Amino acid sequence: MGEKISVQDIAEVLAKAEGLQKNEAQSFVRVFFDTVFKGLGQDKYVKIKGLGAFKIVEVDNRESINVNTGERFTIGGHAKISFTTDNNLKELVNKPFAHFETVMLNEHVTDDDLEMVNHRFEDTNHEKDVLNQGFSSQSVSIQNEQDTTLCPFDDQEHNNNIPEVTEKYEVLANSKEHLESNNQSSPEQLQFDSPIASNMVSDVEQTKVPSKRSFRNWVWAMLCFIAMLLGYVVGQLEFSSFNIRDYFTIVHDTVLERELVHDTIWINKDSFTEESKELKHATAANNGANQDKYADMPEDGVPQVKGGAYQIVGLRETYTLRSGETIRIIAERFYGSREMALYIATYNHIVDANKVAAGTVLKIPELKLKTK
Amino acid sequence: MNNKEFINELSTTLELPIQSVAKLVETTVKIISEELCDGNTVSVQGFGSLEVKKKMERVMVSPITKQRMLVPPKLIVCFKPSATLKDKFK
Repeated sequence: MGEKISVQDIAEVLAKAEGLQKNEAQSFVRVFFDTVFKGLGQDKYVKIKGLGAFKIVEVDNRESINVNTGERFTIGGHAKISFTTDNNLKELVNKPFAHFETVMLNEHVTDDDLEMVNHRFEDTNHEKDVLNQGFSSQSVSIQNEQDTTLCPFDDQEHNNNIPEVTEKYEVLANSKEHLESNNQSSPEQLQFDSPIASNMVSDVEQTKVPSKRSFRNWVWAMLCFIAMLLGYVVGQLEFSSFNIRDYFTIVHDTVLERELVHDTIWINKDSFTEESKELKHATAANNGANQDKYADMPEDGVPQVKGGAYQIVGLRETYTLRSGETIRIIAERFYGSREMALYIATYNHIVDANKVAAGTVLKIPELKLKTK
Repeated sequence: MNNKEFINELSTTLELPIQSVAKLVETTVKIISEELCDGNTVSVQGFGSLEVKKKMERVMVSPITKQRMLVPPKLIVCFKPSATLKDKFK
């Protein structure tokens, strides 16, 4: 995978397959590609069975815009070498993805929905990890307290800590119930929860039986510590992209997602209306801002350079053109580049920047770099 | 230049019979396609390189029916001509 194969490598395999000398095979492969090159020069087209067709395509002149200055310029026409893969080879290469098929999309599916589906698929995986992390860290905190209770020096703390531990367990049980009510649809998670919960029970019981089982407890502590470490690492990796606010909606929507998998793309609009409304508001606001920023002719009547990187924000100063000076020279003086003449010309409504009479009073615009 | 002309051209330059050249071409193509299937890049100095790229899935609109479709991801072979080859055809 991802290795670079050279002519020598091909020649080596060829020599083995055909019983040739290595240098013979190598020269054959060289001549093979030289002939492709020659054929391209002759007919501008070479077709090789099983590989594909090389072709020379002429590209016309086209106009483009310098992204820094907004100046228009033409990209000259040139020849381009195109390669069309042979159908057999195409299918062979695409074999790992051959089982995918083009799917019709329903009318009401929008791009946002598609992204959401992708996003949520990723999040369901995170969900388990976060649950894992949550439980293991809780269990460890309980375990730590157990460790202190096992310390024979202060019995008082021992007595104090047992209720605390049971309290914690209750909290845990509550949170489990909470999850159950939230998420009746994903049985794996419940199964996943229950062994941990039962571990908790056994742990709590163990605290009541003193130091005879301290070794076993120690082993438990180690296990829990490892679990916490794992949870922490996974959490660090995943948590950055995980939004707490989404968490409960995700748990709610697990059923919906299952349906989604089967119907490919069908989203229960009702459950997302609020979100999509918010999204729409946000995008509307963005659009408004963008329109203000990038419009060619804003409301205040200041002309802008279309496609330019800078925005004309106001008048910087006025300048009277002397004889022998052009706008390009002025632009170099004010902005450091002759190409910026375009901005002065646009601001002063000058059509031909090279033909401006001496004595013309020019308004030099104040420029601001557009930020995207 | 089609496949037949290509093989003829090769056999005249190499001074080998057409049949054996045809066989050699077939094996060479087979080797190249096997390497490509393994996800390797075949690069030929002074000519260019053939490599496999992954295209992401995308939403396409059929120009006839205006029906939107989700096109699956796919692996494609693409040819990147070398600088020397590009220069020669400029």
